[in-house]
Amino acid sequence: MSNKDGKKSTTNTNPPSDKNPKKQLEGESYIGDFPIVFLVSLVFCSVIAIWGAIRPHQMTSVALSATSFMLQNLDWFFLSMSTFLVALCLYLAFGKYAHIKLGGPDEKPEFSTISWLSMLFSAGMGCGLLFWGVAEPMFHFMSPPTIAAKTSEAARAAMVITNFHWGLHAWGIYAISALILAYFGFRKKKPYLCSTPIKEAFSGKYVEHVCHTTDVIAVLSVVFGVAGSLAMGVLQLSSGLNTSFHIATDSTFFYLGILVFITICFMISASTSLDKGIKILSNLNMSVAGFVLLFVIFAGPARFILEIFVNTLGDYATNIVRMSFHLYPYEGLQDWSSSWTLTYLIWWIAWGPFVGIFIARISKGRTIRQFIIGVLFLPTLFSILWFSAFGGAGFFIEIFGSGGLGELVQEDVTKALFALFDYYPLTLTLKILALFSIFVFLVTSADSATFVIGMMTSHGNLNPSTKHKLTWGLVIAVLSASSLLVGGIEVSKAIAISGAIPFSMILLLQIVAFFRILRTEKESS
Amino acid sequence: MQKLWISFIIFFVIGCQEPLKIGSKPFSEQLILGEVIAQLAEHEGVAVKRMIPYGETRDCIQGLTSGQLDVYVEYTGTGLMILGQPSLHDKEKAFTIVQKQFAEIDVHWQKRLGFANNYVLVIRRSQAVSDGIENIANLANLSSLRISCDLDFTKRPLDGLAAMLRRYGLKTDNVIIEDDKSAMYRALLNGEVDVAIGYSTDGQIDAFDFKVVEDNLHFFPVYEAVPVVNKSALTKYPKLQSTLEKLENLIDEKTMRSMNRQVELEGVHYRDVARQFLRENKLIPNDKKGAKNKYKNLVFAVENLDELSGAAGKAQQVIHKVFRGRHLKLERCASPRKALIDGKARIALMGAESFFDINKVVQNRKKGIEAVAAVGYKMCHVVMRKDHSFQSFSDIKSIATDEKGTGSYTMAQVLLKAFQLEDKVKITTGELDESFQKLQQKEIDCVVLLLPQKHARLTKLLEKDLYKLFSLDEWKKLNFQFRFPFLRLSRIPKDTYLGQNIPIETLSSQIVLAGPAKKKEFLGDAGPATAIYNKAQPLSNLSILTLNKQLQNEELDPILPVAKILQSQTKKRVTSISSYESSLANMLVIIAIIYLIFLFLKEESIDEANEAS
Repeated sequence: MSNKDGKKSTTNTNPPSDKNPKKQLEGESYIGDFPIVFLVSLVFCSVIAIWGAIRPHQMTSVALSATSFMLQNLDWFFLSMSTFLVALCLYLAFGKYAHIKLGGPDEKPEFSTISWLSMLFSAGMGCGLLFWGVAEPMFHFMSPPTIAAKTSEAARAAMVITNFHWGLHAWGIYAISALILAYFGFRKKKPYLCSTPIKEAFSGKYVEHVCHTTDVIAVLSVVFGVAGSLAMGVLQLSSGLNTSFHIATDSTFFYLGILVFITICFMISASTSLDKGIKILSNLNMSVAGFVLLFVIFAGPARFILEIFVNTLGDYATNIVRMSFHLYPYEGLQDWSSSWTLTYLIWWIAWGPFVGIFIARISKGRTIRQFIIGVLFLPTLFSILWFSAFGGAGFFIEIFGSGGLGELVQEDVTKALFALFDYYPLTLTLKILALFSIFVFLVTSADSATFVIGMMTSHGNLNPSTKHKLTWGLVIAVLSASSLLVGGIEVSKAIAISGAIPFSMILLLQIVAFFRILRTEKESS
Repeated sequence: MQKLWISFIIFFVIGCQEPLKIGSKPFSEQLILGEVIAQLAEHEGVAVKRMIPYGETRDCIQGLTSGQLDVYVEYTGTGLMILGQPSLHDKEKAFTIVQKQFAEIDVHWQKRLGFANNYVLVIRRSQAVSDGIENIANLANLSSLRISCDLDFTKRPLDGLAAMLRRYGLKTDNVIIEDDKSAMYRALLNGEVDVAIGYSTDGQIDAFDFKVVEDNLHFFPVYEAVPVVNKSALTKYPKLQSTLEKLENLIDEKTMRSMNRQVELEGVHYRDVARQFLRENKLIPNDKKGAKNKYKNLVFAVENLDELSGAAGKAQQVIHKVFRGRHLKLERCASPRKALIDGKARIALMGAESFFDINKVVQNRKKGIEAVAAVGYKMCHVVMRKDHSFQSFSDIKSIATDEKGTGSYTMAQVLLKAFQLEDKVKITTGELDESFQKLQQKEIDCVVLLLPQKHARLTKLLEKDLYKLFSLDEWKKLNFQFRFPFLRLSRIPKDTYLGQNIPIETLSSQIVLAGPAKKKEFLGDAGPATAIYNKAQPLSNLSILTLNKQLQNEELDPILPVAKILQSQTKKRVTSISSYESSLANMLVIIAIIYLIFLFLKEESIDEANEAS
């Protein structure tokens, strides 16, 4: 096997080093000095950004109605695909390939387990958990499908549904996207790109075109996904500033100010190496989030929350199989499942290339089993605890307390978290911590995104050049700014989600490629 | 945090002194007063133990004499009852007696707080105006008298229902016993009863703009609120007496009503109400947290002329119940629809006419709002001088109405359009009283108002006997049903207003509660994608259903854009069982999957790429 002499091998398929970024490689296409993927992606980004800036509504409606059509008509496909990915994870973790190491046989993990977990968690969910921690359980509690609202069954169902959306299925998508890339990157020492598995496993005259398309789609979905999240994060930050300090923050000027500040921060973080910027920030942030979590549990209805946690573990375990295949063909609730479950799934797929590549990059030296446990089970467990705490505190206020939170969530989702803190002691401290945490999550997301795009547009270089990273950082910032200016984050989100639909096919293609290679491994070992 | 520090400091200063035990009876007024005393004492440096609520009257007075309790608020009338003395109407006398007699058993009545919680008779203000009721004796003039009160009141021998009826020589047609205070006031609001017997500090009186009828024969005894303290507490806490003196005459009936209202109707915690009261009176320092929780406000927009004794009050009461835990803020404006669309209000009261753009002939429904519950009706009132000589509405030259954006203004515009007077007649806007004055001075020919029947201010103005309502008999011939479908032919029954001896033919429009409607959504109407839009979501289905359940009204006018949950749930039958686009998409996906399986199974010599490396 070629990877036996792993560490020191410098075959010509290896990524170009930092010192010599312009070294042209065999089989790679260049236009002038720049890799083709870099240029094509940049052109696409600009075209879509200009369209979005001039005709935001037209663009949004084109992109979203296409997506909407797919989600409503192919719901069975997306749901069964995500379930299939979870099953695949289980097979990989406990089947005959469990002991394959992502890297050479003597490779040691690059990051400590704690840092690894907090980095992958920050990249994967981060802001979303703060955003939806209170809001989503409350939403389902107030209007659950097929059962009566605001009952104890509704509360139970709300916890199961929420965790179904944020649990195994979400992380299953990430885990598979990451695992494939990590396998090819570290074990096979191949360039670190979404197209690598396809290139390795298939041969034919169309392969090269498919590979370039794959890479461009991956770059676009990362750029727009992150730009959209950044814009959304800015809105949440300003809403938080508004509720905690009573500053009138809903002006475009203010939004741009926050954005510029975030951009400066993530540019600084991006110009340092991976094990400094992102690692330190992620560790810091997970400690803050952990503290807030513990505070919400123990300064709140601790017994009630822990009861919910245990209860939800059981409910989740018993319902997971049913939920994994649960569409509503007879009830006529396709609208519900497409607007919640499927939108979440497509969301995770849209983030797949970004989070996948990032997780893969930090997972060197772990076996497949360790990898799956770390990426699939631990985050799921953590998010069950998270939702039990935040959602549980919300339920407690609604069921036993003064109430009012449920309808407030309906009125403005961005305020849910801050409204919950009003029922807690040390309100202001909590709000500041939450704001800080959102801020850092945004910085790490944007930072890891520039890192990932840098890798993708420089032939999978594990440490892309700073110049590359900063270029993409700037593109992301400009995109977020323009979507804030035209008043619609819709634009970037629309693109991000639309990109996910072709990407789901690419993911399946990658899986096929991965298993074709994996079976040869079995034979040769 | 600050509080924590203060209590720490207090702990050190006082050492191990026993805290002052403050109690209360178990209803909201008592909870507020107990908390007021507790917070004030804390601020004065006295450690406090809250026993709020402690128990009923008997428990409290026993607690006080046995030393279980140091202070609570008692009423003079109740004090007399405990002593076994006859009740008194004279407040000074009542206070002197309880002060003197209780001192013998070591219970000291302090300075009075400034209000009395007496029995009062409450009526709708509109009725008070139209039937000229000022005092209880006037009630005898009513043609029928339906009373609602609690069970206790019917059983009191000396100051109860039977005694009152005897004293005033009244006859009742019906007595409804209702122990739930809010249900009692609701019955009054709905016109199911004419008189409700409540307490003078009930928050509902101001909230729904009821009128308290004067007890002109001084029948009801007085119940002034006074803090009572046991003697040992006065020596143990030397500061206590001076602290309680700070509250002397500080709480009048109106203040107490508004505090009760906040707790009972607006769902504010009594602790916050007490703190707010002390701050406003500068008894405790104002910290910067004053503006906190602003977003917990639930803004309810109504038109300037909407009256709390009418539809607005009825709606407000129900909203309080449905949106428990939110602080309801009433916002008066010209156009509630605009407030809703601008996101300044969460829910609004408006007429059916607000949903339509009257300048358009087709597709004239406005977007962005949906009706969620029916509250009542409003009628078009065309008011003219009593001696007017107009034969037809087309003869008029000028109209006065309410501000632009209101239902009345829209109504005036509709009339001009229908009678083709748009170029000839000028609309002036202004205050209601001003417009009527102009009408009287012949500056204008008529006032057009779209208001509920028996609107109190309008009724009062019509009482002057200078004006009369104009019948819109001509409307029927104009055939504008399709252009303005929200207007229905109706009649104002005779004798609704003073001197109106014939029914008035006119138009009516439904008054509804409205909330924000969904924008066009691509990824369904809920779910994570909604966060993208950053706009107010429609009211939740649960809230809409409870609003309707609580209002127990008729259904919404079907021409209005009605919330989805209220639309009749009959399933649409599909005409064709297949959809080609859908089938095509599904087919492509299945072919793709089969191709992928084929790729997976395809036996190829171990990949060239692999060999190459």
